[in-house]
Amino acid sequence: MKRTFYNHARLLLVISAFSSSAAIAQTDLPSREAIDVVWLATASALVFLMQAGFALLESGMSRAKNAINVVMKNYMDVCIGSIVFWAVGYGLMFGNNSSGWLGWSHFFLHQAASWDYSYLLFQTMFAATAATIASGAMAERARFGSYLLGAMVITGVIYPVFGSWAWGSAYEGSGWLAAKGFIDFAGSSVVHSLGGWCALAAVLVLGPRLGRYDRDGKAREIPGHNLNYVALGGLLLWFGWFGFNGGSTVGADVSIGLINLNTQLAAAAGAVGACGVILLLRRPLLVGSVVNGSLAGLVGITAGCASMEPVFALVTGLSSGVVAFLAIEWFTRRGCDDVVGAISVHGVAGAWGTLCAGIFYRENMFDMDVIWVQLLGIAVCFIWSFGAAYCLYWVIHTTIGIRVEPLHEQRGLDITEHFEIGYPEFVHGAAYSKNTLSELGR
Amino acid sequence: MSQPEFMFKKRAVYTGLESFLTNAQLMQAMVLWENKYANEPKFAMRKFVADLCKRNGQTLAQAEVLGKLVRTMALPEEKLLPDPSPEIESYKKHYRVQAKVERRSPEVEVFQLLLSGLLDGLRPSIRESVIRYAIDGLHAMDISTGLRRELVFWLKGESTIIYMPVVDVHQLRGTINMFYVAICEYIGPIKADQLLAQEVRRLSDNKEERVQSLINKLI
Repeated sequence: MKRTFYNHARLLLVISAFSSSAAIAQTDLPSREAIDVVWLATASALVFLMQAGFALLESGMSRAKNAINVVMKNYMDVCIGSIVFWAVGYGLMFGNNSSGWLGWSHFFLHQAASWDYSYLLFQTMFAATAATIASGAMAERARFGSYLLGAMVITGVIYPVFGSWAWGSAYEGSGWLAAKGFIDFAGSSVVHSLGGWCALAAVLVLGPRLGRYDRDGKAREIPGHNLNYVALGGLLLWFGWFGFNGGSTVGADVSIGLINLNTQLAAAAGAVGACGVILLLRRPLLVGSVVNGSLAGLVGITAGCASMEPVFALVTGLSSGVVAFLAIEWFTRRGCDDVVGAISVHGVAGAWGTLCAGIFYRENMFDMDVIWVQLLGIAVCFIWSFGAAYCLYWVIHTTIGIRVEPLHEQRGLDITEHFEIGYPEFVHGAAYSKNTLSELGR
Repeated sequence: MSQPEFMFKKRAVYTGLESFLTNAQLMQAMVLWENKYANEPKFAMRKFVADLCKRNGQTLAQAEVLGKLVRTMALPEEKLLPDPSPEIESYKKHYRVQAKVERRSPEVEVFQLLLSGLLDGLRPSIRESVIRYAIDGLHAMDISTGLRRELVFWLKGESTIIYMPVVDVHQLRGTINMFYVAICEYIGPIKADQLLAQEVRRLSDNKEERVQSLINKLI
């Protein structure tokens, strides 16, 4: 009897709970727009996490005496970049674009629709990513203020201008490259190649670090101070990429499954590709090379992740890993001192991935018309971003100066730019300690 | 003492003595001051004047000279005679006066110890290359003629001690950095950092706080 009573009570509770949740569902059913906004805001947060990935990766690949400077660059470029992109960049990139060459509305966005705010937030993270790519390449010898000035111009002008050509307007009109059918879903070219070519310009203006090349021009290894950071940074970037590519649907969509599967496969294949070429060339299997392989896979798949079958995503990722590794060797031999390999991983693998997006385009594979448009986009991206960034860094170099003094390279930029020591408790092998800081402070 | 302080003191001594001595005596007096008294505190001026009077056969009124020197030390810079360094240099050259001073500042002493340590840490062939690089580099550096000359003598093995009564610490720091750049060029930045750290540790170990402070100033 007692048992029967309990069973009835439980049944009543279940019915009442079910009916109340049904009532809630009927009255507060989230709109399609709300779901899109939730996904876009979540994806923005994931892309933001990539900044932490960049900070760890670049800091880990730098020497201990410059670790804080690298982190500070990453920290501040996202801060300054966010403000500049809100004020100017978003309007240039996504504002009304009747000419196909430049957007011209929505500057200092305010009193706009909720979707506009979400879209601006998401795109701000992309702009910050494009700007921060150069920081790793320029590490250990660039002045902090000059770097930030460069990042400001990249976020405010260089990135939005090419973005307006390739992705067109979010409101009225379109970009001329987008109108030709250029495929770059999440920005292999728009974000990564552009950032990589800016890094190339910066490295050429800056010159190599002290002693990076011997008297015969042969490159010397300058190992990073923390390989765990490098691996963790790589994994964080990988994680953030699910928001980078998946979020580029700009709404909740069933295609996100394929997009993120392709992202995963390409990243994994990129690392495998890098390992393969390293073993074939009988080189040591370094953590940095493997992490860069997976990042190259991610960069490579970014353009075509929504328009490729998984097997081709794998091919794209694998080949991107190989291409990036060979490109790092090529650039290093030619005197380009790129501390983290950003030119190859973002610039070269981005261009290669953009081409793959055309070659393996699901609707129309191996179509030369599509491939030509991709090649045009790749070339335009290089000419615009490298040309503009070279002029930018050259002007900075000849006016306020871009390279630190040799004494600053000796002391390390943590001390000279920030008056800090990254590892004050562990200075046994270093010439500079907290005592040196107090002496310099006098 | 900083370079501007040293220059002020030198011009003040020159101005103060000018009315008491002939040109040749004045040059001798300036060489004496540079060699023995430039790096001494202000109260050592009495010793300098006594030494000067002794060397000039008591023809000078010691109290008068000392009084004049103390007064010129208090004058503003624009009231002093110009820097006598060119005249002193030409006097030394003409009379083959021994250019070396008998004293050197503690900064220079630690500077030499650090440079010796850095050079000793290199293989002989690399050391030779670094020395050649440094000698070329010294000519392009904005440092005093005296320091350049002393360093070149020392690097070429023509002297065993770098004698400088007073020198701006910025010049010493710049010179150490030039050696660091040279070492980076020849053995790479990682080994250069290790070598610098090793030498700093070696000099800092078991030394009083003053030496550690000097090392920190120099790097």
